[in-house]
Amino acid sequence: MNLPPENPRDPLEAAIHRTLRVQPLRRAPRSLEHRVLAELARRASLPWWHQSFAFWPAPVRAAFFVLSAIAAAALVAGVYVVSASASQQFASEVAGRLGWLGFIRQLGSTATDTLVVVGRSIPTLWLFGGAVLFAGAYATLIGAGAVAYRTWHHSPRRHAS
Amino acid sequence: MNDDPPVQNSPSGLTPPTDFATFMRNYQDMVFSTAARLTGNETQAEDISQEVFLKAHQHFAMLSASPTAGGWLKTVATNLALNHLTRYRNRWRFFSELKRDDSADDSDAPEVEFSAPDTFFGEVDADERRALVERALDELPPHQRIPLVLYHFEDLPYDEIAKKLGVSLPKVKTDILRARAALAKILQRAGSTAHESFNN
Repeated sequence: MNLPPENPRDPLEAAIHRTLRVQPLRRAPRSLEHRVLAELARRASLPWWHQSFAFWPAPVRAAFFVLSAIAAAALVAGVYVVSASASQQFASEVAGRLGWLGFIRQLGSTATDTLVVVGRSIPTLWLFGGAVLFAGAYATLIGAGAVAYRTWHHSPRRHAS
Repeated sequence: MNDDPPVQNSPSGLTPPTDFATFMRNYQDMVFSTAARLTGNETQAEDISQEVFLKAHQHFAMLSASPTAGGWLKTVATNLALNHLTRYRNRWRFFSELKRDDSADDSDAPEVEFSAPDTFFGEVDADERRALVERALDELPPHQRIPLVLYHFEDLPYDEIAKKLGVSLPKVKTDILRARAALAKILQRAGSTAHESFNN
């Protein structure tokens, strides 16, 4: 427990403590009760599948657990069967069907190589100059934003009323 | 601040859980006060209070019969307010922690001299005194107001405040010391102004 107000060790602390502890509660706005009840009514009117899992009907929750367990078991069994019986023919057939993935990979590799070549052809001074320019523009934007925020928005006394 | 009497009737068009509405009316001022003093902003405090009561509704079966329901609500309100402030601080730290020349953060100001520590207000009447104190609290910068409120209103010790706010123990102590000095200064200034207008 904190220092009681009658403790004379720190008179300022005691005075502040006494002043604050006699403060009555602040009156809650009239709109608070309406807001809470309206939100409760809105949530209650939602269908069960839009609510969190804790509010689903018990049979639905049980069914969900059972179906999830069945799905997980089927997935594990499927992976096992595929991995155990996979043949070279099956693998080559899959590779043939997914040949477009190789094309995309080759395309990406070509684009990367092109970018590297272009990047190496740009003078280092230009790269550093661009980086400095970008950093300067970014800092200016943040600074202008901070000044605007302090000037027009952030004022502790706005909340004092 | 809302000076109207508390709402006693359920809003029309809703089918409220009557017991919960009563439960809410019993605690809404306490929850709102906790959130408002921590955030220093009534709009944010109302949002946080709404969130607290929505959580309370989920645990209403337990809370309705519990003698510690008030403590539960206060803890949830404190934690939600601190979470809100942490998110807000992280989002706006760069902008809002810039030094303000006109702020109430008088960290370099000399110690407050007060000849009569029992009162800051002289002959100011009780209602005006309460309003002055709330306004003075709202004027403090968040890094001073929050530990001060946690210490003097929530009775948390320094080390727990440091843990909750994720700052060092010396910083908490320093912030609370400065908060008291700044608050005393604001109160003395406000009290003398109010005293003058009271006498005129």
